[in-house]
Amino acid sequence: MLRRTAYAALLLWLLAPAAAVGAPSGDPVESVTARIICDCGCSNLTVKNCTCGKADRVRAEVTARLSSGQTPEQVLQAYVDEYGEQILAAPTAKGFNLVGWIAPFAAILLGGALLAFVLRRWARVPWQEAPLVPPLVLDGSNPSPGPSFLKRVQEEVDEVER
Amino acid sequence: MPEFGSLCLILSLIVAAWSLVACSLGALTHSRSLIRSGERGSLAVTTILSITSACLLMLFLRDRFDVEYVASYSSRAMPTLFKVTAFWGGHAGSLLLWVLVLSVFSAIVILQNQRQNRSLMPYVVATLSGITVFFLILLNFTSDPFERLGFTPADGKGLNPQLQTPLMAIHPPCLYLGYVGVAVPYAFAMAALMSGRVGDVWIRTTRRWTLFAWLFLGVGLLLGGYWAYIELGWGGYWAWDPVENAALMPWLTATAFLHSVMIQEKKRMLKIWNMSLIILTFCLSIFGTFLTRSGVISSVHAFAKSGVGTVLAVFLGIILTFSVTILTWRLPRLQSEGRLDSFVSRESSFLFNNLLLVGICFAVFWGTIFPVLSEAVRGVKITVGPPFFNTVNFPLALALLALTGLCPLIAWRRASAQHLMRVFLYPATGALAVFLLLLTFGMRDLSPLVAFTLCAFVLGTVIHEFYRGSRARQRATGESFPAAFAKLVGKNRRRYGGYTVHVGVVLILVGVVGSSFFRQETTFTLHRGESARAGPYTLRFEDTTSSSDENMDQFTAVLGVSRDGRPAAMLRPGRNFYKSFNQPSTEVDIYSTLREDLYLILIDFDPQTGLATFKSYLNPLVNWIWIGWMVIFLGTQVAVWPNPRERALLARARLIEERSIA
Repeated sequence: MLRRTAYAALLLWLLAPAAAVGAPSGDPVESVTARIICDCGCSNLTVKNCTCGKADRVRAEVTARLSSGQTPEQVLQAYVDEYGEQILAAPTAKGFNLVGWIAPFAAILLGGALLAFVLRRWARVPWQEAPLVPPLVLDGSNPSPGPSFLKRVQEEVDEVER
Repeated sequence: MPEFGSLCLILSLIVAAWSLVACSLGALTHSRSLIRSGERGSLAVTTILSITSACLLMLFLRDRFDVEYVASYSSRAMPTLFKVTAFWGGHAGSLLLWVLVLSVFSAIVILQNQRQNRSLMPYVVATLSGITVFFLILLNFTSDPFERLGFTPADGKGLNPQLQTPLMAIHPPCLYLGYVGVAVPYAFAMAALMSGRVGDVWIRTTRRWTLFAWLFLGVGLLLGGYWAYIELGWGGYWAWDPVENAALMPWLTATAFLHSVMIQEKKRMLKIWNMSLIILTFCLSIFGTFLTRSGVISSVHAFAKSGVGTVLAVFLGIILTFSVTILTWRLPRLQSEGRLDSFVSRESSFLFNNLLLVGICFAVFWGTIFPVLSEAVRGVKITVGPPFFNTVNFPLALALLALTGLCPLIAWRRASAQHLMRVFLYPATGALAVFLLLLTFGMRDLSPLVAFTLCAFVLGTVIHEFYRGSRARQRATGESFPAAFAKLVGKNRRRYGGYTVHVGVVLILVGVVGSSFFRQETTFTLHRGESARAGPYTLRFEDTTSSSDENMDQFTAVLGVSRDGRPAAMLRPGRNFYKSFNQPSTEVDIYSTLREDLYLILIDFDPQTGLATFKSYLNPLVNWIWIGWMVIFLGTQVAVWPNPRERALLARARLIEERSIA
């Protein structure tokens, strides 16, 4: 029972980060400008973050569009219509672009499943090679181990547990 | 002098090629004299390349603008320091630096191994020489830094003003120490495969090289981030630019490698995996070099030059094919000698750590190349920018963090549930306390809440681990607690150095989460004497100053900063106008505390109206990122410090290997 609880806690702990997938920001201007890339060429930044003059103009434009009653989605669409999909800072979650979003997680899940499978096998398969040391027979015929032998055993145990 | 430089380059190529041939033949025929000759050739290459580099340096210092490279990256007005660093400001020079670092590393490896690892050395030198030859071919035939213009311009174009900072002077060399440093463990891995000595000798021999390369890749990333932060003026430090990603990827796989080799050392397992990881890491470091220079993916950092990309891609193909072929050939010798004792053990937690590190690396790689893929498949250009990488990597990084906390709690070989519960208790209680505390202070956003809680947990486990170890030692030896602590760390440097590095990683994450989720931005326009508020700070626009020299015109605004009515600092954001570049650059000023940074930019100043527009960012906890890196640096020093016990283990590994070969 304790074992099960411990494993369940372990699993829960490792899954907790999944809850932390970011929520979009509340400010509509920010939510739009954070999703458009600034194509000023100075760096790989969104309009929200870029400090160049071009980003300032786009921010003003977005604010104007939003205050004229367009929804954030409409504003984004207008930019896509004008500049093409590459104006969006991240691919849309549609069609082939979905491959882009899903592949990293799919790869990790697949890798994880594979790893779990392999690990289970490794942990379960009995060790088949011949043991390096003949088995100890407790019939009094074995000489009792000396202190240097015990010291060495202790060292090797330390080494493994280190 | 430029002719002499070109001549040296050709000479170094010839000698490096000889070194490759001699060592390869020497290895095949077991000819000692050939091997020695190859090694001496490699040392000669180091000497020639040092002279070549000195030659290029002299050309910069003497303003020899008849040389195209000097004319493109230097100018008379530039301070001497930046004339020196202009050496690696462009493609050809940075390539020369790359190969110079590689040849110096080869020389060190040769000198270190004159009496040891003799059966590995011919293969090691051949591999390193092979890489050197390739880069020298590139230098000689596509990117000669000594190429002449045919006329002498009055002045050079000068180095990009944003690169004229001391940080940029050391950022590229650090990254190269990392990129190139990876070549050493790679060469030893290849030598192990080719010679059939696939035990853990190559791993133990190169452990410190790997740590060194890993550390410098990290320092390179840090300096790049810090440079972006104080220089680019957007208040951030990481933009998921393809070239940043290129440096991050080998760092991630090298991190995985540093963990997984421990399992090979202890249990003689994962031999194939470790080989694959080091091959992957080296390929990624070449891929990084390729990305910067190919123009396949556009980036701020890129200095694309036609032709080079294709050659680098071919080289990458050769390395990959070669490495995978000999790995496959040696598969029968790479079988695990050990087995797992339990599914829940530190071994398996290390493997999940590897999965996540390689997974994050894949996510970064995937995002970096997806635009190319999308264009090929759909014919539509798309951008994969920061939102993609942040969304994908944040949960993965947190999962890795959770695992970082768990790993030390799970015992080697087999973890019992009771043991797990016992060691889990204190750190988990601490983490829960932090969680509740943050809730009471009004934090409602789930992402930072989870992140900070996990950070607290990892910190808790590390502290608990240090405490438990010291207590146990104190009980066993009767030493005082500080003495027990010091001896504990001293005797297990690798382990406790590693834990210290984990603390550094936690601090970095605290900084990243704080500055990403709680950043506040304010824009304000002021006349002289007026004030504005930014968070808890009041900023008063006091004055402006300006100055001019032959390199640039400087304009600076002076602002008095006070917090809660008490004066805190004077900030001087400004704009510089670099004459030879005909472009303005923003000069940021930062008031930095452990709690937060007040980051101030002068956006605009109208001399007619006297109105100045400023933008300020409040970046909470951002300083902890740099502190975290310092802790990582410290932890790595602890782990890398020579240890008699490691030496004994290496000697034992050599003995075992000799026996198994015999």
